[in-house]
Amino acid sequence: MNILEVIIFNFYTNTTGLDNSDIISIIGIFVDIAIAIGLVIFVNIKISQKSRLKDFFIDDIVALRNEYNEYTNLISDGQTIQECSRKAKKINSKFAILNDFILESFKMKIPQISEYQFQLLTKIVNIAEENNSDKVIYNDELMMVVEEFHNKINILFTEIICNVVKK
Amino acid sequence: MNIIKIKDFSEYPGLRSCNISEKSGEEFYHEKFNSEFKLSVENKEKIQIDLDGTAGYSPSFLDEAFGNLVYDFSLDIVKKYIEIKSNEEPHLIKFIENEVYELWETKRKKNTPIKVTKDHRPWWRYINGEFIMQSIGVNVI
Repeated sequence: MNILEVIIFNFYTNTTGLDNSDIISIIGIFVDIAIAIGLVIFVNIKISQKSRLKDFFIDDIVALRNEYNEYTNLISDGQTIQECSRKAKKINSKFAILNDFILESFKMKIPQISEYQFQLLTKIVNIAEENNSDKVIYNDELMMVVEEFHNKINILFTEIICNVVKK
Repeated sequence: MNIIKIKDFSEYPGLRSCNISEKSGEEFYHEKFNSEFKLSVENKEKIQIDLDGTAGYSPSFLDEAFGNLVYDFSLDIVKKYIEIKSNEEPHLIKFIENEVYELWETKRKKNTPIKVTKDHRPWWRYINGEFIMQSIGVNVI
């Protein structure tokens, strides 16, 4: 202790009638309070950071789900197969980027939608080629496959959102 | 290593056959893939097929191109000399290796006739350790 601290210490002990152990206890209480406040602030910041990250990813997941839904809604008679595969590749690459970030941020593996999407494209192509066409032939068979894909995608995306929320 | 980039053939690969679309898997196989692969096998060096850089693939394009390769050279030879690269769509590699290869190896063993929708110059086959030239006229219109 320097001289000033000794003077303040003596002043307090003389004027308040507190002995050394009381002062140490009071200081201890203040230190505990400071630690508690610091901890609360730290935890709060961490929680809000994670929550913001989750919100960000969930927004992206929802946007991507909408893109897949839009893709299935656009599959129609006369559309070229090349257009279908071009759009599919575009959405799948967005999904792959999101997948990498989710894996890195939440250590969470998500189903590979590109494979389901490829199965759908295979069906579209098979039906077109059976009819010697390079364009989509939207018959009843394809309609059922598209609906099945649509439902599967929505279930998968809902599962992904639930899993992100749980993390 | 010999490298074939499919985007050099076309940025917009077509469908399976020449009679349905331009830049088809059939056209790619007969114009480029067959002769380049034969050259690699002859030189005992690997050939890399780079699938990246195109606007996307119809599954039938890949089936026709890689399937014909297995049909003409056998699965063992194809597996030994080919390396497929697809950073943009890795599921395509799975599709080719798990579905196309097996299916066309079965066709090869059963000698199932292949479909030819355009007149091509004679192409190579590898039979009993020897390269032979083959030519089949159009059999599907």
